[in-house]
Amino acid sequence: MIQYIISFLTIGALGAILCLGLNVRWGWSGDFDLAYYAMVAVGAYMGGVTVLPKSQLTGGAAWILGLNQSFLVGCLVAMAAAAFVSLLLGAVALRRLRGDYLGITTVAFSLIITAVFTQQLNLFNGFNGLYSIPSPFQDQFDAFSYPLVFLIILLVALAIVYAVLELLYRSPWGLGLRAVREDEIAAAAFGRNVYVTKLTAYVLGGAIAGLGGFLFANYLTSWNPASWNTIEVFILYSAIFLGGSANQRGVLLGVVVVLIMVPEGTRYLPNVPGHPDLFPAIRGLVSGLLILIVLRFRPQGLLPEKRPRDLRRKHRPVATVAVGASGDG
Amino acid sequence: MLLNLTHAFGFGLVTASILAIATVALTMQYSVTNVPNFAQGDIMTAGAFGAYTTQFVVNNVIVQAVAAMVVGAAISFFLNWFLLQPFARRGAKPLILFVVTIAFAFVLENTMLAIYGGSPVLYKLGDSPPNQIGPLLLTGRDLVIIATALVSLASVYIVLKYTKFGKAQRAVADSPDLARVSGIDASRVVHLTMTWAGAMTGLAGFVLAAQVGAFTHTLGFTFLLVVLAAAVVGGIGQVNGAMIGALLIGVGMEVAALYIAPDYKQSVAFVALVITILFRPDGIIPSPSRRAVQL
Repeated sequence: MIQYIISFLTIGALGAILCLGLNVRWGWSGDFDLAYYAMVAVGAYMGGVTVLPKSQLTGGAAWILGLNQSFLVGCLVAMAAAAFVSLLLGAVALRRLRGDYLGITTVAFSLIITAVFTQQLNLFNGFNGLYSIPSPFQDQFDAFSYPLVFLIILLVALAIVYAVLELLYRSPWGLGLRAVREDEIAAAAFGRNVYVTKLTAYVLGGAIAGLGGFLFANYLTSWNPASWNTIEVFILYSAIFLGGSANQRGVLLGVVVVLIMVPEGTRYLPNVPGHPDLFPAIRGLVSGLLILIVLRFRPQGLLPEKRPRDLRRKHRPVATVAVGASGDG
Repeated sequence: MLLNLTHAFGFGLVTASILAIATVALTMQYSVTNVPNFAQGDIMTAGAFGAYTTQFVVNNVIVQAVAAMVVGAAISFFLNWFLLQPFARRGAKPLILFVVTIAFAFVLENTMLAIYGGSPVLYKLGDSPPNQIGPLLLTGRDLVIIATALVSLASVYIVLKYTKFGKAQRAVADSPDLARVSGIDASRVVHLTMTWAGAMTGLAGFVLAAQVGAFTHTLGFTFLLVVLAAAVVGGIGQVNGAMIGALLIGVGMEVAALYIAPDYKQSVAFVALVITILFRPDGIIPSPSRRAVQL
């Protein structure tokens, strides 16, 4: 029983880190990004090759680097690599594109990255990818108690990410970012650099994606180019929409429902022989339906974002913009 | 080498024909509703599965093609009637409508995964050995695909250009409010356009499935991005732009496959899409009424 609870809490903690990173892009910055899983995959790969020893494979297929470094170095490299890829894409895409065009561009970019992963055997070891990625501190614990240790590592990572993001959300930069999201022209008129603010948020989200991806690779102890499906990001989006975009506590609630309760609930459905794809299909189906239902009946989510209010004024949008734009004053 | 090039050009023409049907449907739907329908790839897949399922009942290619069109039209109508219109009435922003089409695509794809499973299904049509036609080497099936594309494109062109309904469509694409003031039932135009685009999308799915021979529930999703590439390169909302875009992307992909690894050939389309969006967002033939990027 305790092993069972640990197993789904582990999945939940991993999903929560990934969702918090995506929430920076979608919730705080308002950018509908579909390349998030590419950053997750880049972080997972770069972190993995940092902790793995040098590739001994012959015949052209291999992984790069193989630095044999510690877990913490792996985390840093994963975050830096994913942030760098985010910077490249964001610098190009966020200059002019918003809304549906940004979504289309990022999904195209993500599919190009996936093609490179599967094609460049000399860089990414083709369909075999990475395997036996060493789990952090595994040699100091026995196999029975290790899942709990790993869960504690994940929860520490999640707590750090949550706390740092909460501080940033309340900082002048966070206020400025929300001002940009609400009204770019008004924020620019108050002296905000719309492009730099949005790009910073995009890179920050990417760094968290890299960290989450590396932790995920540690959990699976492997990395496979085919397992990072672009459209999977929609499961993360359904958690964010349901919980409440931009509100971190809401996002955690969404993760509990979408990534823990839905899979655990469908686990007890009767098994259909010869149909192994039924459960993933039902999970995807439920995620998609959840998005549609939430957007239709409660578009702000279960725990909506708290809006700053100037109590002496009645016209809230004006006050929101003014508070946001004078944030660093 | 030159022979390879002309053969690749022939493949490209077939790919471009499939692409053209889907692209014209997308561009027509996009310009009238102002929301790119991300579910279109999965509507193609649904059309393909419709044709696949029909073959067990009726062994007639034309009936199967019609079944694919009916499935596509029905799903597209459902999407518009039960999702997009209620959202639009509540004043949802275009971005939210775009998210709705993606969520619907996700539901549709997973429904097909639940019904048909994840392993590929075979869909083989009878085929004749390739014939030499001019410099090109085309099979009978290839010729049927090209002819299907030409007929459907011509029908769209004629309706848009010469009928009252086409005029109403163009008016709604320009400005729904002005169209309403002039006495056009704009929501009826949108319903009909979505249904018609759905039928063409289903047909495109049938043709794509017939060409590849075996497919899964993910058939349409990656193809959708190629379709979007063709639509954006050609210029959203322009039927002749969509044809040029489909021709450029379709032939470009097949010719590029001679020089690079075949798995990269779709990336060629994605790169063309990104470059067009960044440097010439209105496409080759810009639509006079529509600016792709507002800021």
